[in-house]
Amino acid sequence: MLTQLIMRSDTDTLILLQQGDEGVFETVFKQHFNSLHAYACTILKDAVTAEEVVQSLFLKLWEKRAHLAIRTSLKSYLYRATYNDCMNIIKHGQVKQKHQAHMAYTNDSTYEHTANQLHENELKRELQKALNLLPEKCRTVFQLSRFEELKYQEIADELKISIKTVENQMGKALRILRVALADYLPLLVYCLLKIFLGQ
Amino acid sequence: MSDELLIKFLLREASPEEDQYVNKWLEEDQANRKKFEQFRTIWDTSKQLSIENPIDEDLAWKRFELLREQKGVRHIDSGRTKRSNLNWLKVAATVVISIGILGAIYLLAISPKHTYFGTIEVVSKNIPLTDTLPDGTVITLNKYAKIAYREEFFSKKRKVKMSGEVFFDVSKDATRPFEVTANDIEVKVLGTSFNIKSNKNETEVILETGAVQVSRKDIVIKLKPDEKAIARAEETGIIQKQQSDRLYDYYRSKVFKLDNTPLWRFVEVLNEVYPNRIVIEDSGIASLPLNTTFENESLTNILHTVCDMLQVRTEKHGKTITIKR
Repeated sequence: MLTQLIMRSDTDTLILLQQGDEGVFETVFKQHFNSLHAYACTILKDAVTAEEVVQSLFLKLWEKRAHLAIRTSLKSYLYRATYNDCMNIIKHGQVKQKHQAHMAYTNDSTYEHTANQLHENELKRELQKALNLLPEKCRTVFQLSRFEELKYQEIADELKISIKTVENQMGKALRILRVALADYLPLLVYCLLKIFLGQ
Repeated sequence: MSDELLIKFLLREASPEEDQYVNKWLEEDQANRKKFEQFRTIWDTSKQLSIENPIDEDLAWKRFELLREQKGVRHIDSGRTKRSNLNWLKVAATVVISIGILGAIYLLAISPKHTYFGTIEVVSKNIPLTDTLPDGTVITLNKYAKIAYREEFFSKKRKVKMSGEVFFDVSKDATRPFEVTANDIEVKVLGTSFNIKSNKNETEVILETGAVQVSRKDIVIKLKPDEKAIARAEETGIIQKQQSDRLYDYYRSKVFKLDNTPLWRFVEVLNEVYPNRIVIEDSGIASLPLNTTFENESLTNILHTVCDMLQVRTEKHGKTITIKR
């Protein structure tokens, strides 16, 4: 049913949105809220700020509804806007303190560390940082593939881009991550190999 | 071998021919396999970065409506200041008359129920006390607790300051958030039920239903049902934990529901409820589990049943009761 909604939507949805159709706006909000929130969370690592970002994004969308000029798909518009707003917050350092407090707290609460876990946590932390290196388009495609678990074809449809572009962006995303994590990977691969061999 | 194809293979998006091609390439050289493993490690690890608890869309939508409403009000206000070519005498007359009418309405109709210009205080002595606030919120105060409630007319907020232990069943009103302050902890809710216990050493928030946001300075967390937040006076930060039993609500329900509850935890609660001092002499029996329910029974009866169940005995010296093997 959801797919149907998406299929029906976009052009129609946009027109209804511009006319200020409350019902359509609510549907759009509920349909995209969680995935945008998840996206903002992976960028900001702070659920509360992430919600603020997405809420005010929709508020702006509602206020500007009459003048919307979305040439891409609605989804890719929303993702782009979320990305930009999050980046603005990071630039202004508003989230830094909270983020650090959150990290400190998370670190405190995990009390049993094996060497492997420690390394895995380190890799996760570095990966978190490296994700923020991805350019916007690349990151959106990665997000849809990884966290929303969409197939290439679905991503292409949702963002109104070609499947070839999806392939290229995914390749680019993992290439950037691999380069950024170069220092952390060999050891882990060694650990994995040991596990494989052990079995 | 292009990275694109390798990733396609990793995500099972490649065609059978491409699969074959990549497999052959992987077999050719250990270095190839290593590169592939690195991609796979990144892919698998990144999955763990997703957030586990999605927000309820309907709640998010309610919060959005609230935000939009606040924004809308501000717009109308700024619009009003623009048309200022009115006859000042008319304005003055209208203001004076309006104030008179509003004053009369307030005195006659609103003031008995609402507290816009005052604060309601509820204080309990040596027995728990249940009361209903003007907004419909039901509060239960444990012994020696105190709350001060006030509604902020202009910011549309319901605010409570408290000390001691209080259970809140907040009446739903998305347009007026409910905020509780205990020590340096602030709890924000729309409509939900939760327990707060505070003394000079720590503040503890246990959520029963709904969702609340707990903040301390610039740290903000959200609680799910049956989770608790603890803030200790000598430490900064907030500890988030599961609440494993329902014993904390005894003062409200008059029921002790024990579900694999260790003896030491039950004794801890009994010591809070009754004036006696109960101690466990032998640490070997402290963690014995109890499974039963006590409804409105005397301490003597409760201890009697516990002794029967665990094959232990009690000794009483004045106010002190010792549980031993």
